[in-house]
Amino acid sequence: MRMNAEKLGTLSLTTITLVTLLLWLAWGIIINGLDAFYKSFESMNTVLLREWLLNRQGDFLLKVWFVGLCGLMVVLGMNLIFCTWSRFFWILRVNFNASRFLMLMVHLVFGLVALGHFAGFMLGYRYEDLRLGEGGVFRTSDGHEIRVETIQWAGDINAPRQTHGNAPKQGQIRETSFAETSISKGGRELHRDKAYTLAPVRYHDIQVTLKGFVRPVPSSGNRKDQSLKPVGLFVISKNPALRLFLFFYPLMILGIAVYLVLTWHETQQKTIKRV
Amino acid sequence: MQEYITLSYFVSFACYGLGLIATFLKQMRAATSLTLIGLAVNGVALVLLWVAGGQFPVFHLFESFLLCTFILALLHFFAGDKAGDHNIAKWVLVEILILFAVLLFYPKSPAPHRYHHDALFVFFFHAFRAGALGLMLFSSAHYIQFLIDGKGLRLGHELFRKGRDFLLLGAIFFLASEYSGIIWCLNGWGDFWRWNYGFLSSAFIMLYLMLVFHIPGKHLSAERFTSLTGALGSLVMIGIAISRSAA
Repeated sequence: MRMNAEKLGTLSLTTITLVTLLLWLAWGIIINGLDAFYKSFESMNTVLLREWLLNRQGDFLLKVWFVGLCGLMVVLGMNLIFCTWSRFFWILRVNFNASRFLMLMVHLVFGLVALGHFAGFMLGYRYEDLRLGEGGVFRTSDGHEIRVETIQWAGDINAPRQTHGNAPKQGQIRETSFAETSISKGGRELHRDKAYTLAPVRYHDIQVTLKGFVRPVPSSGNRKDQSLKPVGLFVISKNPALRLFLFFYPLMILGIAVYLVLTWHETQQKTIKRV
Repeated sequence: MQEYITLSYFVSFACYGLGLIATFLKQMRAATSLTLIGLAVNGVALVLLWVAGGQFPVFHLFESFLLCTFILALLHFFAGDKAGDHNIAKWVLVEILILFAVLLFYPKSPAPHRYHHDALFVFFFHAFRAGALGLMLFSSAHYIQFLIDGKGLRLGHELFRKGRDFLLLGAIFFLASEYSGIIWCLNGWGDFWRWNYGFLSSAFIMLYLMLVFHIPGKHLSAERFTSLTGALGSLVMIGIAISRSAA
């Protein structure tokens, strides 16, 4: 039992797992570039991965790839736990060293970041590419009601995909075009704010993201009808693990930075002492 | 303005190239002068791109590689070996010239302005990436020289140490770029991850860096293997940057 735990915590296993992960990811990158898999990868972006995995319509090979990727990450996670467990007490009791202890903490934070990343795939909800005009309402699975109160669009309605184009005045259009949205539950308004492209509306874990504006489908059949207001293209999402993920990620970077400062001349000093 | 940008690119290219020849001929004073002129003209090219484009030059490959060569040359002068190890200078110049050679195939013009370029996190994403590549290339120069110097070197040699320090600093810049990218994606698409080439390739770089820092063993052959993978890291990043620009 102890032998197995020691094997699971070795650096050799870390290396083998990382090499396998790299090969697995390379396989994913290759199939991502193939036309046959384009739609399947896109479907992974439109819903929460929990739903995508349970949906029978998805590409089987892609699901195998994803499950394999998660499996390898689990091995890496176990390796991290066993390695940390075996070294933690050794560093604390036998050979305390500030930089080593800090690196141990960085590894633990990395584990939390990876967990937060995975939780983002599985928890909450995600509704992609919702076309909502003024007065448009969307109800989420947890009973929240997102209503578009007003839409202000400063661009040309007949120009295709204004917000994601590259016209020179895009920045100005972005700053003056918005969709005012309200979030309610049980008939009570909880929050109201303006959503801009790249500046979403947030209420606790719920996020209303304005991806851009699109032309509405005209009922009159006149596609150049200037009286028509554009509709917003929204993503409504909820990720309960997001705040923790966004907190731990920079903490991990900071930890590595402090570690680097502590060890910048360490090897050189050791060498000098040895000589 | 366009012709001045092109001219400064070629002048800088030529100066760095002549600097490398002088290094091979061990004419170190001439090499330093030529590299300094190359660095100055490289800086002029960046300023011209900034003025012509109306935005800091980080957004497409021509701009980011020019920024990267500028950072790399600066590192060579300010963080390089004070004793003037001409071998490191040689590898730094080879790397700069490789980036300049790649840019021969790209339009010598500023990136067109896009609506998201005004957002700070988008700027940071690109700027930190250029910084990360510059630092990783500087690290590679030390790792390559460590590999060339052979088995006679002792454990924890200065070259290996510098390679490790700058690779770790490059990794910090890369992670900072990734964090900016996460904020960008979250604000633009409602999630911090997308299943596409950009994100998968970023994850590849991150795992690759993790691999370099987790090679087991405390002996010379382990250090040599770390040096080999570390030196190849910047090549991986250049390859991904080129393929992303083509996508």
